[in-house]
Amino acid sequence: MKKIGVLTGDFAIDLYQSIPCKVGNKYLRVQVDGGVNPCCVMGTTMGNIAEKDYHEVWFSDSYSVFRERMENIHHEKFHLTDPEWAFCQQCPHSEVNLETYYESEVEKDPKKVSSEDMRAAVFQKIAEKKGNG
Amino acid sequence: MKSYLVHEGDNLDALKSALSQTMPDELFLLRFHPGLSDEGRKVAIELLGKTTRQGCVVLDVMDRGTPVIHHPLISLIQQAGIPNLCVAMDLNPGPAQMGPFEALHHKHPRDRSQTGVDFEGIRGYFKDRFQVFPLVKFQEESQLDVLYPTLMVFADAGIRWVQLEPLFPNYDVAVKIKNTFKMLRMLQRTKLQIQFSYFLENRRVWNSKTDNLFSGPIKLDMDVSNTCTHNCTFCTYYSDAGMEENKKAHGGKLSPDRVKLLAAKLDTDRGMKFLKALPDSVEFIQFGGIGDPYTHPQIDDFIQVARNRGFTSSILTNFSYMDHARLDRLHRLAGPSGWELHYVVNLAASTGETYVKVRPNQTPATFEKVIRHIQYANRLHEADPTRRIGFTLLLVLNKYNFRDMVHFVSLAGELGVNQAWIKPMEIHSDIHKEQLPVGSELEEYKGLVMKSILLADRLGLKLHNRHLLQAMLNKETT
Repeated sequence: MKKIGVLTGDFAIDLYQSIPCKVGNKYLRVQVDGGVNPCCVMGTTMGNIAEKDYHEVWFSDSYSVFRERMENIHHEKFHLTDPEWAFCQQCPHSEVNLETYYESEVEKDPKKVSSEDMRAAVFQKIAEKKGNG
Repeated sequence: MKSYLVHEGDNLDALKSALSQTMPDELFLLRFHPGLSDEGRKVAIELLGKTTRQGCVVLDVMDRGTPVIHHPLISLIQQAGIPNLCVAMDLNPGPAQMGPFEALHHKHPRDRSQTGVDFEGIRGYFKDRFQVFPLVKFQEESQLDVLYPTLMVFADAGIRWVQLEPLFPNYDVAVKIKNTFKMLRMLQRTKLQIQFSYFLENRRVWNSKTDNLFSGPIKLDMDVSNTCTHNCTFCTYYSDAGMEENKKAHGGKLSPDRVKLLAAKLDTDRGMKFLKALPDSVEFIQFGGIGDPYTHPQIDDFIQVARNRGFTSSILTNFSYMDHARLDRLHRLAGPSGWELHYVVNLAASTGETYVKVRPNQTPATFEKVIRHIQYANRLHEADPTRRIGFTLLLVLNKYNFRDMVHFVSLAGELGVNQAWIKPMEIHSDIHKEQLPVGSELEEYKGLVMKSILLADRLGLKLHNRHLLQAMLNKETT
C-alpha cells in the first residue's frame, strides 16, 4: 500500500476506505475533446458530447458499470491492489462522498452543519456499522 | 434554480432580494403559503414577472376551491409575462378524485396517470400560454404504489421536468422510490428530469437516499483549453522539464501527439449545447483544462451561459489574461458573495521574485498585473456592492515557493479574497518529486504550514481544506 505523505496532499485514505464512492451520481467532467469522465482523475470516458447528448452519456451503460463498481470500493478495496484503479488513492472527491454518505445515513442536509460536525457524525456512523458486524 | 415561498405578512423585501440575485435564464419557482391573501399573491406575481424571464408560479390543481384552468390568477400570470406554470397535485389513484377535471379527462382517454388529475389535459389547455410542469405530492407510503405508472405517463408524454414532494419525514420509503427510479432507467425513460421539490427542506437527503440519477450531477468540471503561455515548474506539460522530457524521447522535438494535445480546445458549439442541456441540478461548474481556460477565445461566453443559468461558476486560471474592460463585463455576471463567479488564481508565489522562479518565462510585471487586476475587481465591488467577483488565491507548494507561505496568507488577507488555498503538490511524475523540499527543509516546511494556519485564523481568513493541512502535520512523511 502506498504511504501517505506529508507532501502529497493525499489525506483522504481513512475516509474512502470506509464509505462508498458516489462521485458517479454527483459529478462529471468534460474534457477538451468532448469526452466525459465520471471522475476528474479517471481517464476512461463514458461517452463523448460530440456524439451523444447529456442524457445518453449520463445514463450510458458504461456509467452504470462505473457506478456499481464504485458503490463497493470500500468493501472490495480494489484501488489498493489494481493499478488501473490506483488513481483513487489520490481521491479529490472525498468531500462529495462524505456529504453523500452523511445525507444517506445521518439524514440531515450537510449544508446545515459544520464540516467538523459532519465528519464526526460520519466517523461515528461508520464505527456503529462496524460494531454491528 | 431558485425557489421562494411567500408567507402572509412578508414585506416582500426578501423576495425582491432573491429576485435581484436571479440570473436571466435561471428558473425561479414562486409558491404561496396557504395563508397568503389574494392581494399578496398578486403583488408577488407582478414582481416575479417584472424581474425575471424564467419565472414559474406554483399553483395547486384545485386552489381555494377553484380548478387551476379557471383560476383568476392565471390571467394575471399571463399578463405578467411569466412563461412557466407548475401544477401541484396529490398522488392519488382513482377516478373518484377526478372532480372538475373529469370532462377534460374524457377528451384524453388514454391518460393513465395516477394523480387523479388529467395533467395532459391541463397541459394541453395551457399549451399556447405556458410551459406546464407537474409537482406531485404524497403524504403516505401507500401512495407510492402509483408513483411508477405516473412517472411513466409523464415520461411518455414528453414532459421534461417533474418535482416530487414527499410530505412526511419517513425515509423508509426511499427504497421504494429508488426502485421506481431503477425501473424507469431499465425502461430507458431517461429524458425526464425528476427533482425532489425545491420547497423541501431535505431535498438533498432524498436525492442521496434514492440514488436519484434523474436529478443529474451537482458539480461539473469543464475543460475548455489545454493551451497555456506560462511554464510553471510544477506543470507536467508546460514546465521546461516536462517539455524537455517529451522532446528527449522524440528526437529533440515535441511528439505530434503532445503538440495536438496542448493545442486542443473544447469545440464552442458542442460546449454551449451541452451547457444549455444540463439539468437544473447543477449547482457548481469549474472551467479549467490542462492549460489555462482564458486561452479559449470563447471562455467568457461559456461563463456567461453558465452564470445566466444560475450555476456557481469557478475558473481555474493564472489570471494574467485580464483587462479592465473584461473585468467590467464579468462583474455584471457576479453575485453578492464572491462565490457565484469565482476565480481560483494559481498565483504560486507571494512576490514577483518568487513568481519568476516558479514561472521562468514570466517577469515580476506579470505578478504585479495579476495583483492589480484583483484590486480592480475589488474596486468594482466597492462601487457596486451588490456584485463581487470572488477569489481563491492558490499556492501549490514546492521547493521554490514554500518559504512564501506565511507571506502568501498575509497577501490574501490584504487583498480581501474569499479564501487562500495552500496546496501540497500532488506527485504524478519525477518532475514533481524533484521539486519537493528535502532534508532539513521538511521541518521548516511543516513549521510554516502551522504558522500559516495560525495567521489565517488571526486574520479571519478562510483556508481551503484547512482541516487537511492540519491533518497533514500529524501524518508520517514519505
